[in-house]
Amino acid sequence: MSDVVVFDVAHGNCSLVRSQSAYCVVDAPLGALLLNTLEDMGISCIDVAFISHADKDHIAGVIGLLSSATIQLKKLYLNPDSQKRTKIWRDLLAAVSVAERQGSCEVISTLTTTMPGTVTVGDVVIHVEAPSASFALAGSGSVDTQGRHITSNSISALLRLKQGDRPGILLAGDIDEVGLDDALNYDRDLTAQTLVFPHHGGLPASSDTTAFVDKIMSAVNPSLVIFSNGRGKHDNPRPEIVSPVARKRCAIACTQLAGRCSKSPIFNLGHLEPHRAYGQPTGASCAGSMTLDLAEHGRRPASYERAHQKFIDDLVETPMCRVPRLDK
Amino acid sequence: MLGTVEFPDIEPPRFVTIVDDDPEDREDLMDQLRDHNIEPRAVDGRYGSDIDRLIADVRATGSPFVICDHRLQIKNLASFNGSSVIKALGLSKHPAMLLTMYQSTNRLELREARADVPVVVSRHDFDVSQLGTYAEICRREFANDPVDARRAHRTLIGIKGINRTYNHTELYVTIPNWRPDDAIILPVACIASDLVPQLEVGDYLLGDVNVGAKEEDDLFFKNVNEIMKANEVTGS
Ligand SMILES: [Zn+2]
Repeated sequence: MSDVVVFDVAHGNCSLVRSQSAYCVVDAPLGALLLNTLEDMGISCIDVAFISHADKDHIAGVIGLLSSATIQLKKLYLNPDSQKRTKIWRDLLAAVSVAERQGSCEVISTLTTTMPGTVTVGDVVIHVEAPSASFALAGSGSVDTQGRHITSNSISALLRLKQGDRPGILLAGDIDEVGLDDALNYDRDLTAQTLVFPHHGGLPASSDTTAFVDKIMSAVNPSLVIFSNGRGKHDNPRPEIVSPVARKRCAIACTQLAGRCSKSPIFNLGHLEPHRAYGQPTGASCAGSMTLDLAEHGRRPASYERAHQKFIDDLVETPMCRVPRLDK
Repeated sequence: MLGTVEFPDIEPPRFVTIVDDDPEDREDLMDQLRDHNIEPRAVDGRYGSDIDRLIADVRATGSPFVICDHRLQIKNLASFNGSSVIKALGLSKHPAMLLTMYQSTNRLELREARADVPVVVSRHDFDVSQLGTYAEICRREFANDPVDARRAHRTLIGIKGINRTYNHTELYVTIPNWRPDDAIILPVACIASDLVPQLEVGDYLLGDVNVGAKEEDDLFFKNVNEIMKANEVTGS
């Protein structure tokens, strides 16, 4: 059995890959949700973790993983971000120093299409589809071949998770159009059954939103788009993103209930999966934490999918994921 | 601090013992309990520094749950604080909660004690209908299965500021995987004493912290006993 749990962590991203007793974590924001969940699952060793890029809502929880006394992290992949002079980046360096001092974790400071290129976790192969080595080396603060600014978000790693030749899942970090073009210029295969949409469904900086959505949707061609968003934080996902995604007739699931979808929190959360969901105690979850079965092409279990759709139909006042039907 | 959904509909205890030095506050609490069909029992007297006698009297009331006021000195019920009572009851796994008004000085005093005090509620927020939940939080803690907000994880603590006077050191710290931008005061009593004189801004400590805590006043610190000097962190 191989699956991926996309956690409701409020604003941020966190995924756990489980396959044949091997485990992998991609990103984690602040809080104890990941650590508590791993402890309860009886997982004492994470074989590999990835940090997609150097933002707080993706690395704070990895700092906790590096310092944990109950969970060992064996290997961490990340790209250096020479422009980052942030406090959280220094905190991460301190956590890496702690792990190195304990000799417990191998830290690999490159995460590109060529190195490591692919990483295997049990039966799952993780393909790094971006950034390319030259793009990562140019780094944030520089410009791409078209003279556009490369930011920390641009160098987000695009990770495509597959079991066999099934289409799988694409985790997109906070990638923007500049980073996406880097992958497309190298003809990277980005197709996936499920796309965890970049930047929590927030607006991409300095590019045409609709064109960006069109570009990523045609490159990935997903049947399900997940937004990992925090209710009340940054107003994500943005309707300018959700509408064009919904018009592609693809299913949408947000971890949390956007303020635009329901003014009030909803405490009737019987549809949630049994994993911890950050929004559950405060009625802020929509789909909550979601399991994607890689043997089933990266789909959600049908019963949870149905229960979530019913929850939206019955209780959510103005769901952005529902486009008005033209044939009515 | 509590996710009400985490503990739906837990029956409150039928008897509750109150330790409060102020007769008016005590009566008010007892009335609130009676309104919810909970039989209140009170412990009253002068205990001075004899905490063992107070604990014996509390246990003699036979209640499964205890509500204890933090300040017991004002009307001379005892010379020690309520947090010491909760801690002593906890040693024999007796569920109890602390009732307090968080105010500047007592806030740091409580942070020092918080690792041994599972439930702290201000008088203002006290809600009798939550007593079952409060008792359950204690039970989970005694069973070594604390609720998420009370689970400790080995964590970095960044030293952001130090105020040293001739007899006192005040530390401002951040916890990167709790709220990396919020500096809070870490009482030096929570830190292994040999580390305190070495501390400089930019250093990190390692300790066990409940990083799932919702609020600053719910944080506790245990085993803060390792240091990483600023110059050991690359890029400093
Ligand atoms: Zn982000």
